[in-house]
Amino acid sequence: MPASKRRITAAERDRALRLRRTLTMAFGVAGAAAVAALAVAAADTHVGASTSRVATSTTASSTGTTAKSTTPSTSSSGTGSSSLSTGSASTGRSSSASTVSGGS
Amino acid sequence: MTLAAYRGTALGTSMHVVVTDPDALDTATASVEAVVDAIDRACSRFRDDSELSRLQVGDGRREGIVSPLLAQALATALRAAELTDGAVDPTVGEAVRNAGYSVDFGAVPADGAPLTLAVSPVPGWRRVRLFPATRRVEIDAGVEVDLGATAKALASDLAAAAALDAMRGGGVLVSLGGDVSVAGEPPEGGWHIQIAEDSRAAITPDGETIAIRAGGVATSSTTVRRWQRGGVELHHIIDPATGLPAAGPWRTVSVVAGSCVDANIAATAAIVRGAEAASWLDGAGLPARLVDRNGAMTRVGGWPAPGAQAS
Repeated sequence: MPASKRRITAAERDRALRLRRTLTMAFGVAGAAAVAALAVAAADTHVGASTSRVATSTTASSTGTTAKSTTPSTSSSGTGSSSLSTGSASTGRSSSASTVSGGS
Repeated sequence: MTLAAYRGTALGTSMHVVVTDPDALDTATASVEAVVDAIDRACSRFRDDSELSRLQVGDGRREGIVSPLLAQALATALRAAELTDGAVDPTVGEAVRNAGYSVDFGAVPADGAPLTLAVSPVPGWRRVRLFPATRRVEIDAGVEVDLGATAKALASDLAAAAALDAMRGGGVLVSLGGDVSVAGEPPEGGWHIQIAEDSRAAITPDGETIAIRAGGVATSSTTVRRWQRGGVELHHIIDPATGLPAAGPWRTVSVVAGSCVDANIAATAAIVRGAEAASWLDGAGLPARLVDRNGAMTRVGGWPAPGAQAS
């Protein structure tokens, strides 16, 4: 009797993607292809993590800016990371301030 | 290094574009305006012709294939909800509308008759489903999506990246209503950003100022988008657990993160999370400045101390 089908969980998706990266590093494209089906399934699992790669690569055409990805170079926006990206700040000079960050 | 700046308005708030190459200002500004316009057309809940408004027409369960940009904005909002355990939830649409914020804020009356508001959790972000591979969206009946919490910050990030790409070098800062994103090579000493309750405030000599070299800064506050109904003060940051304006101890929270979106998510979540927000931000390694209802400040996560301001 065939096993019942179920949608893969986010954890399973992440494991599959990690495995694919490992295989890609170890065996190149052929290794990655071995788990391609899992990756495709992962893309439909849920939102967030796997979403942005698709969306980001096509955003530029909708904004008419460039064919290149508009993912911020230092940003995790839309990269689907599982935690908030951290940043750093140092002391600034009010005489050099370019703008104000405040409520709006 | 001479910086050049454009100051205008967009998305019902201020828009600043600052570049390290003055010759690139027009190019950068045009790129930013294109991104902002695209976000407005995709995500606004105040435009009947926006893609989000058209998607949400009807009372029952709604579904459809959305544009790449709206898919990205929805993914960002749902990621925010997941990372904050629902403190930043895009299904607050009905709650914020019931509280009186139903049109562009400039048209919201400052005062009005009393409202009857009930404590009722918002439907919850899990009732919105996005299938990235096909960009298919399903919104359950009774759910009203509002992307206001994250779409403006996403616009800042995308605009900064688009401007940098169009400039072909240098550095750029984009601020949309105080949601700041920087990209490219920063000026010497970094981008200097003054922190205030209100993004419309003028830069002052004694204002607390920080410098960043990458990523973004965002400030969420209950003190700016406020209105009264029946003499009761209301604001736009909804606590998803109650469906009412958040009533925690913090009135303004500023956060530095690897992107403007992430800074915005953390700042808004901190307002909603209340007393435990400072330890949450500190534990996440996010430099943050929290101002309580009495004006007392708490700085965590490596936020520069005010006494260390350089002259």
